Amino acid sequence: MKLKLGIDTGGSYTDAVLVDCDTGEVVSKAKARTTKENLTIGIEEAIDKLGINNTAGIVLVCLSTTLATNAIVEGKGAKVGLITIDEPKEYNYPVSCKSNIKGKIDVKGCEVFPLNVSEAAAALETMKDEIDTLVISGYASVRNPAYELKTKELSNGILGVPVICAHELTNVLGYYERTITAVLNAKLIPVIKELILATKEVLSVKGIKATLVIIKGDGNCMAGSFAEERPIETVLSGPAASALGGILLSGKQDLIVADMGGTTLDIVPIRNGNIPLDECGATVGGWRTRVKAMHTRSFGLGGDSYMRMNNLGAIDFGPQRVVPLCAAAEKYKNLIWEIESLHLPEDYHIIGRQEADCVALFKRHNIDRKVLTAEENQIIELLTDGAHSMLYLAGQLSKDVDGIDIARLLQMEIIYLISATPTDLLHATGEYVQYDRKISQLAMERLAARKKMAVDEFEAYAENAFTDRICVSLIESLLIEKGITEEKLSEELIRTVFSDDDERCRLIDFDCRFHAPIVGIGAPAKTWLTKAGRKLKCEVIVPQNSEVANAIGTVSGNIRETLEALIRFDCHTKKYIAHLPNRRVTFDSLDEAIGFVERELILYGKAFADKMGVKKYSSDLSKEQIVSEGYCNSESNFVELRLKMAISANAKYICH
Amino acid sequence: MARASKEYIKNLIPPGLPDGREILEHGRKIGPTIKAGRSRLVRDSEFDNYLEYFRDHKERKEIAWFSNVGLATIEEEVEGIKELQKWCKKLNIKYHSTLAIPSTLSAIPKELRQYDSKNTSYVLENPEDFMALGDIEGMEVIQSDQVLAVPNAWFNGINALKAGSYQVGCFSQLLWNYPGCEDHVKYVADMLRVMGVLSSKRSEGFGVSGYLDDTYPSYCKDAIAWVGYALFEQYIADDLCDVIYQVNYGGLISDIRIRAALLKALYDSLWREKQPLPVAKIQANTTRFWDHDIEANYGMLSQEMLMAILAERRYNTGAVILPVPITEKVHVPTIEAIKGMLGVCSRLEENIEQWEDVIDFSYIDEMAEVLKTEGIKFFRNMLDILDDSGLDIEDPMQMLMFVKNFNAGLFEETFHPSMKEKGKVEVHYYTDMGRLTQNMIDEGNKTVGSARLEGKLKGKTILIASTDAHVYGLQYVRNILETAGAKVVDAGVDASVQYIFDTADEEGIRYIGVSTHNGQALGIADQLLHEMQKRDSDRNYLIFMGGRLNTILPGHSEPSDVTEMINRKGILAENNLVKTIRTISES
Repeated sequence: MKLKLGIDTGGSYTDAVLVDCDTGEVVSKAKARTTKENLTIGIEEAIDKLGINNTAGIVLVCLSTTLATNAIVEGKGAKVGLITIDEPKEYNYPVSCKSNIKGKIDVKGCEVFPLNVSEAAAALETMKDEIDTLVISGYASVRNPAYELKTKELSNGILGVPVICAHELTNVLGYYERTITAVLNAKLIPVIKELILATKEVLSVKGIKATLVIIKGDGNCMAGSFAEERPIETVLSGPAASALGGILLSGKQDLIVADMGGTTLDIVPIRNGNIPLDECGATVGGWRTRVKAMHTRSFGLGGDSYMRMNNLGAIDFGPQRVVPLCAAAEKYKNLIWEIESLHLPEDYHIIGRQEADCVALFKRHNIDRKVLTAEENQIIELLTDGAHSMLYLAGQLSKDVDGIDIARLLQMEIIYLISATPTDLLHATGEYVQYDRKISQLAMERLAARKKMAVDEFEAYAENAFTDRICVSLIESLLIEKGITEEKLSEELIRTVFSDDDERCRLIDFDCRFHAPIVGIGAPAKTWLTKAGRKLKCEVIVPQNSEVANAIGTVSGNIRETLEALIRFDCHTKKYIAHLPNRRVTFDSLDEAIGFVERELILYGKAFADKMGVKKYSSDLSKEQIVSEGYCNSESNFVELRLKMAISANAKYICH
Repeated sequence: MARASKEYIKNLIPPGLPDGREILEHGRKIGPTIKAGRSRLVRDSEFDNYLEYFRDHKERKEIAWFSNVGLATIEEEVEGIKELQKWCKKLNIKYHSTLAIPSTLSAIPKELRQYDSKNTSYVLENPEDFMALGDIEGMEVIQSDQVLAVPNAWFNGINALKAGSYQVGCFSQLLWNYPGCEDHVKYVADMLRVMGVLSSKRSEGFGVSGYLDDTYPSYCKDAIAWVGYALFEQYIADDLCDVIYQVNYGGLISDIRIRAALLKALYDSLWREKQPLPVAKIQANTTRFWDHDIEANYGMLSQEMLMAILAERRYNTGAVILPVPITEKVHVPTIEAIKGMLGVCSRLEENIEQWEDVIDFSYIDEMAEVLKTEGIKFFRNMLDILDDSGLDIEDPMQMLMFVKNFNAGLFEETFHPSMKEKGKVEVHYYTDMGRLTQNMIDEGNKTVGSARLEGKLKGKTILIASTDAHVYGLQYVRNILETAGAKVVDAGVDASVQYIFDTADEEGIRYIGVSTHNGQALGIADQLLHEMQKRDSDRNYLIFMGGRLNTILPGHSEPSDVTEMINRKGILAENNLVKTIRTISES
């Protein structure tokens, strides 16, 4: 039996599956807690839990990872230097140093002002020994990369670090987004390289000799070596894998994939079995890139979302993720006593901190104490024996609990927060119990008291509130899919759609019909999406193995890449300009231009396949011509011709 | 384009262009076989050629007057010139040279002429026509109009030479085009061959002229372009072709200070030992001073002529003064009109020393220095850019083809020295065109101010472009939007819809303003909408149009205003910048 090993490193869990290559049957599945500080620990644990008997039968290992997304969100990665050429505006980039060089190429790819080579050389000299990677981004470089390539050539003689040119990552206009893409890619290189290396080591130790491929954010896959050059393509690979898993497991072509993990609820409406892509590029960590990744709407509604009473007396969920009390109490038994014994006065007005809030040390070594305040150091000291509730710390520090500032310690990841979550809610009601139930019940009592409700009343209220949030998120996602822009979305209108507790007006009601099932993915999905489905009166499918759907999705990915070229007529020079991925050429006739471009795309396709290590692939060339009855064009109103070479191959043909 | 790219410049040179040096050499070889004539003036004098006569006149510090005459037949032309001569003799003013202005038909080879169009002036048909003009007693008739930089260059040039015209052709007319004569390479080669002949006649004082107001400087806002471009023409004529070059100027400059300063600046910049008489003529302004009411013109023109006399007396360049220009605004001047103005000029000369006592020229002298310094920078910038673009700047054929083919609307933005230093044109001294544009801008800014819209567009970036060659309208719009606080990105003239959107997308701009005057506004609006929808972007573009928003609609024979139709399609078409600014500020 030939098997594929799929691994998904999520924010909370790392899933692993073994899938029969021929039947698609899940032979074995496993989950392990994601070890954020070293992902391969979780990977190794998950692989171990699979209980693999015959590692020789594994022909392919597919990996999806949140590492890139997390690294970007957390601002981690290599020290990047940036050379911009004719930057149109002063922008902010997450780089260590930056220089702008004069030299202009316009969007037709024509050289308008020459590249200031001496300025470029001087700027490169200043970056010597200061950076790990260099990014070069020139205005309109996707139309003519000459200046980027020239500067790259210069830098090779001066810096001796990897160099990335923006045009190598995307062919889409948008100077800022393209530069950001290149910068983030550069930052991620050592991060992903380390992951791939470590994963390969783990595989090697386990005796798994299969090729390793990485899932991209658009659901396709790439060879590990390719991922080391283009790590930015791995952003949002997790959600993409989840969507693929949803399609595969449900057998549906039209569906709404709702992937609920520990931190977020990711919703992806799918039609005709096609993953929707964000053509403008994915936004990651607040940065708008030009990476074509799956378009998903993410909501801070996960199983581990921070559940709390706000200062207006209402219940809130997320977006912050915390460790559930029930899970923490497995290790820190003292927390049960602390939650039970330590109270706030009945009339205490909650500002921020909750009675159920606890903290524990995340980092025990290499803490630079000198940058911390006295109180912060005290907190660390108090936590060296384990986790404690905030009320405990308040007592020890003789302070009001809201007066203890832990924000910096959280941001620096020296400590982490433990508190009530929807997972605790399910433990308290008994609907789902995996860890310590008692502490969850105690936490609900505390929160109920704040709301002046009986516990069971409060639990129903909290469950309803969380379910409502999920319903609103689903409807919002589908309305956006329908074409309504964010600015015009009204949460109030959406709530009204299914709210039945508004006594003010009974003369009108809305009925919302779902024409496709919700397919629930992820551990908390079954419970919460079933509740949401009841409210929305729509079909909810939580397929077998849905808890590892992401990992299943990874093994269904294939290699797909589209190489593009553009031919335009320039009425000023009366030439046909061909814009190719890494060059620009002019021709006297359209036929010449087309012939040249077709040949080049075939060569590019071959080069891409070689890079992927793929021996067998198929390619399909399509052309889209635009004509116009406009002014300016003197030859048959030709405006432009777009040529696309779609390369596709089964991932099993990758040889590395 | 806002500025010419290297590729654009490089592509101005057609492939397979013959080497200009070889063509010149060919002309030089033919030269000795052609006997260059002399005008009757020269034949009857002690001088060998008119240039010597000119030098003598300069040394005498005389003020000499000039006329442009273009009458219906050769005979009338000869008689007209004689009548002016007689008149000047009576007025006791120096008048020894005239520019004979033939019909534009003369520029075209006989076999291609369409004689059905009305000619305002005589047509040069035969060598005898040239000779007749060269035989007026006491007169140097310059036959340089429609002679050199024209399709009929060889025939006209050689005959003008034989007739003794010391200026054999005006360089600057190379910018003009002639219907039915699209083989520019051929006639530019002929022009160069004529110049080869002239090169062989250098010692006899024959050369070419340039009239700056007929060529690229006339598209510029800054008067330094006059000096810069004159140096460029001299470079081609003298450095590359070894042909004497003299410059004429003035038709499009009404500011008497700039006119005077240019006299000195041009003379100093162009002077060289082998050509110490670089400025041939100061021409009266055509934009303001020659209007319908002839008698009223005398008031304006006389001020201008007064300054011209004072400047020539001060700088002693030898330049002759033309008081009555040819202008399309009215008609070709009659002999009577010219006589009237010459009468005014003669009286001006009488009191001139009194004026010299009271006019302080130091401001003009300073202006002249700036014009010289910046003009030289302009010229050097031209050569650097052409060289950097891959042109052979030592091949006169390539230089002439560049002059022939370059888009005049891009000239100043490409070559003005401040573009390199500061990324925009910083004007030193406004030409009439520049002043007109600046006045419009100032008025526009006042309107923005009184509508309290200054700064309303702060934080917004707006892309503007023109789908045709109207560059000044774009400059006006840019300035007004900047006064309103916007950052403006200028995508230039002759911009295609794809280019406009590509530039907007590259720079992350959602506000796009498109100017059009070519009568295809509705088609352009459709293209803009189509492109906007195709881009599938989250940019949420806001497009506005302005200019001349008309189109010839199906079934109609005249253009119709389509502003309302464009608005209904979803593109803001107000042609009112105040309203447009308000709309953008509220978006």
